[in-house]
Amino acid sequence: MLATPLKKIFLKRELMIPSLSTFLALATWEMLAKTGIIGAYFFPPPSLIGKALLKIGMKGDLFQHAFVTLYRLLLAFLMAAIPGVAIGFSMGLRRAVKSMVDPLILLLYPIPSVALLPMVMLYFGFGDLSLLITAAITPFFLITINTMAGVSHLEKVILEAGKNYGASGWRLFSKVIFPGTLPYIFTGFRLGLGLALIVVIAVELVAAKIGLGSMLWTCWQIFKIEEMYCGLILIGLMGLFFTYGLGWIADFLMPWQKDILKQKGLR
Amino acid sequence: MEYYPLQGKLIALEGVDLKIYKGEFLCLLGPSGCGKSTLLRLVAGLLKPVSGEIHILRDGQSPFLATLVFQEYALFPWRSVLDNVAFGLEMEGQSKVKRYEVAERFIEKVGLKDFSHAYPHQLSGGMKQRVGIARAFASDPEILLMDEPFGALDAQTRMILQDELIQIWEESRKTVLYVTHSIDESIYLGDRIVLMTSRPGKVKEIFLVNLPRPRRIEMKGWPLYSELSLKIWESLKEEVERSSP
Repeated sequence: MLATPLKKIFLKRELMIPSLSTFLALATWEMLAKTGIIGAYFFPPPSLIGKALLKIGMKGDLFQHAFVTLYRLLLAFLMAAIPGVAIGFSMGLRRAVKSMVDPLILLLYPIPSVALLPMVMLYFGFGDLSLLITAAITPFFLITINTMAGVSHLEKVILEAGKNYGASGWRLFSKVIFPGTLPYIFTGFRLGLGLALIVVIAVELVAAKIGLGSMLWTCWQIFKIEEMYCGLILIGLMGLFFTYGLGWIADFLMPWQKDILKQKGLR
Repeated sequence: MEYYPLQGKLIALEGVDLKIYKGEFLCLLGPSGCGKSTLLRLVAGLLKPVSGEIHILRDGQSPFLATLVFQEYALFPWRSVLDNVAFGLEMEGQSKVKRYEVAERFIEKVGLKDFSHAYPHQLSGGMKQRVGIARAFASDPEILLMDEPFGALDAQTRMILQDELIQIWEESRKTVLYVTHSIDESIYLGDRIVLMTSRPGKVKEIFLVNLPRPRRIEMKGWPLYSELSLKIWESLKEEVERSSP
């Protein structure tokens, strides 16, 4: 009798705990701000931020900024992902390509991409293209490196089995090498998307007239603290949404992988 | 044939001259590192001999097919049991209906009917190797190459799988080249046992197993069985001692 509702609660544990912890954090903040323990001017209570969110949300400005950031994020991610996967595979599969490209990657990868913005602007001007290229650089390296690692981590016997059972050329790639590398590619995607968001916001702060990053900067200059928080919330939500979204896509494409992680106790 | 892995520093095999008859179960026995697995990969076409040749005398016109069963199972983790077993047929270009029909037949033969939609990580070691065996049979190869297929399994599972393998094999009588380092396994399964020397691997001695088929577990108690076992061990022992002083 009691078992069923209890079970239901436990099944939804994955949803319950995060929403409870979020609620507790917000409630504490609200109380501290309302009682004046923390300065409500710099730390406006969540209820006020919510009101501000509604107010500027109605005007549509905020969502215009968010939309531009979203568009830049997706474009920068694609600019990193497509060549990243292609070059990662060619480096993993051809030793000559690896020894040619490896020193370049080792040299450029440690440079923070934001620091490359002035140089990129020198070549590509002040437009959006420079922002996109700058935001795509580090994710590109991450995706390349992870794809390459995926190829080199393919088990030798799996490749032997593929060849022995008649796969060669393109089919060996599409039926054995590619699915075997996919988990690593997704690791690269996850890391790359997170970094793309960071760099998009960073370059918007310094070199854009529109977008959440530039909005944050304007809000700071004219001291609209509540609206600044609204921007931060949207950036956070964007990151959260994409991390989960990519996770769902990964689970859909690689159902076997989800269980393997569970078996190892990692999920 | 000869084969040197990596820059010719090591000769894995030298002057191996071996006849495999159609429909026989031939066991390759030898000390660790004598090149048994290398020989198997040469027959499979996964490695090319540095010198020498492999002649396969056969009457079929279709391309030569030798499928491998790996000690490490080597199942594709992203494919279900059904799609793993059907992989070879898929590469041959068979239609989905046809290849699933064949695959399901062999999955049933190895007793995994209820698991055809499971993924490899959901199976135990013994079940994984049953899938490996079904995959090898499903392609209908001319030679089945087995590389210590039960080497990673516990002793009890190994005995059960040996019996299952014998049963499936006795129905089809495929030519089998079976690599093992277990004398017991080679006598129980094989028609002939090829004993190899330590590295560089050569054929040292060939033993005929005069046990009737179908093989049954009681035969392990027969004097013939233990005499042969002792004879093989005496010869093998020399090689083991030579390769690990």
